Amino acid sequence: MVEAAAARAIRLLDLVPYLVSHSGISVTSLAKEFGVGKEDMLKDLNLLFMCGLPGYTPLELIDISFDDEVVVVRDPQNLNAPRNLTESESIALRIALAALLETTPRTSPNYVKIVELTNKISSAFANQVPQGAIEFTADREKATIEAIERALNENLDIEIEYVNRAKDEITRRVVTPRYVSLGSHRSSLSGYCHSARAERSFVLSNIAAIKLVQRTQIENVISVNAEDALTVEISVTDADANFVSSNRDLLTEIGKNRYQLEVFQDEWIVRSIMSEPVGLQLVKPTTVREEVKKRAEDALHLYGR
Amino acid sequence: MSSAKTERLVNLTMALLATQRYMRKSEIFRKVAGYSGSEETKERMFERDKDDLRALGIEIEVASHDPLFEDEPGYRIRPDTYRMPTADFSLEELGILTTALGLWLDSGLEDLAVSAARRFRSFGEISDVDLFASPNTSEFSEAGLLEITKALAHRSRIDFDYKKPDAASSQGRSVYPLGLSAWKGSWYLVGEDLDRDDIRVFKLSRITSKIEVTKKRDMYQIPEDFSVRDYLVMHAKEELRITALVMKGRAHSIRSKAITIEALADSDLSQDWEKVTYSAENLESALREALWYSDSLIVQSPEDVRRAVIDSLMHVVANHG
Repeated sequence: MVEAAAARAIRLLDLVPYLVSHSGISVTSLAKEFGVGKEDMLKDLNLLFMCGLPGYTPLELIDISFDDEVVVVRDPQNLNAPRNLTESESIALRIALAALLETTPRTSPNYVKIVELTNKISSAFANQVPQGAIEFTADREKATIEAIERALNENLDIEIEYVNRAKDEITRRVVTPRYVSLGSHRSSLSGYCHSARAERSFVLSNIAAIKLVQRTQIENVISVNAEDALTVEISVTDADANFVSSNRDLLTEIGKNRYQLEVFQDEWIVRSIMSEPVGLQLVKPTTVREEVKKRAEDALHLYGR
Repeated sequence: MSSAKTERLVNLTMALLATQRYMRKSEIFRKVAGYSGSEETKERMFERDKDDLRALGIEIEVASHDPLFEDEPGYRIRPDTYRMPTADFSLEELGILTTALGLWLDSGLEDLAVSAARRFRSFGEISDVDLFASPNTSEFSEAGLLEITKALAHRSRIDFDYKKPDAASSQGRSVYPLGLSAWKGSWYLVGEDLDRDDIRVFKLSRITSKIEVTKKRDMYQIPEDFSVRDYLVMHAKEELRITALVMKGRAHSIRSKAITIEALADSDLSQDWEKVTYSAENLESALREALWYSDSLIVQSPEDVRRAVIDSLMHVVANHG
């Protein structure tokens, strides 16, 4: 247990370098920064006035001047630079950086910055605790759900970086969240997307990043035009195909191992068929069927076939 | 509150920081303001001051065998250990550091983090950084983290009661902490269990008592190559490491889990393609991902995945001919 006098001494030692870089700060702001009352801060400043280097003539004392509005340090003596991190503090910092890195999308420019900073920190602060001794793995989906819940409770919107796997693109969208559906295969968020100006649903695992923003007024909803949908017929040789179990809600059975479904993105059905080659065949329409074949041939070409 | 002691501690720190040579006790008593009374009183004052400063993390160097001092110990504080290293942090980097430390607010490490952040702010006026990341701060409020952090920092033994999942009651454990891991909301301590003479993993939520940290420091060393991953079963899961050529700006969900992304050395492909390594859960999911992105990703290794992709693509062609 650190004694009160010692804790106060540390505060005074840290006060001086802070004043060096914040010359002219008010007593009130200073008190707030250091988490003490204004009266205590004035006492601290009065005490600092009497501290200094051996000799203790005006030449060796810390020289500060202050009134209510402005605090200025004129001579910090040898307390001009901030105090080093203790080993405990540097461990706390390393854990926090690891956590920040975990929740930053790897495609973000910040990811590289945080990696570089982590390396800088580990070389700047000599430490007997090796890099491998600290490890942080976040539950990203849980963090996403908690952020959405917070938005719902506080009437905020969310800004997300969303990975559209079918179109293979990343978009930034502002969404007014409505509810989250948790499923065993996939969990999703339903809400009003301000970028699309329509109700949309988002697969949680495709939300690469999320932050809370002020709520935006919802504009008129553009309704999805049913004519844009394409009717696709597929045949399944393996009834347990992943595609069937994860899209059961979309499928209408029209015969033995034959299904029909409405598709809004050609790209999605083409990729889905290709990623489950043995068990799945696209029967109709012919245009999409030919596209699947062409894609596979192009890909084989990339593999030198 | 006596301000005399505070004043003396500040003066002592400044004096020890200013001195080029080690200062003997007699010199400290003569020169540093605040030491008065009998010789014995001054000795006692100094010993306590020294302990207080060390407890606050200020390193005081002692030289006791310097012939110049005829075995009377001398003291000083090295400026390079006292001061924050001048690592040329940009204002943006300082912003990231203080944002990171902010994750500890409302946790047991709040005081540490707030003080560290304030010292980073002493480098200058830091502006807010838009990180577009929102770690779940509730993960940081686990009990016991402060004690374990301090024990790791000082290499001190800890003692606590621990209840194993299948045990009826808790048992006392004495442990040298070696590492700390957060896994999806739960914290794990990896340490040397002194009674069992083995390295064990402890889930923090199963610790049923307060954690006592021994005052003694440097009781053990953590091996340079120590890694908590080697001891945690969640990390032992066999994963497939895939190497693939990926078209620039494509296959985003592969990129978002990439382990490395490298430019290709001199080749016709280097303009449009990069070499990416990533891990997949198993062969089936590796195959599924590679086929999904088959317009922009070419698996190079392992060979069986590459082979399976080619076979599957041939199936697709045959199925849709």
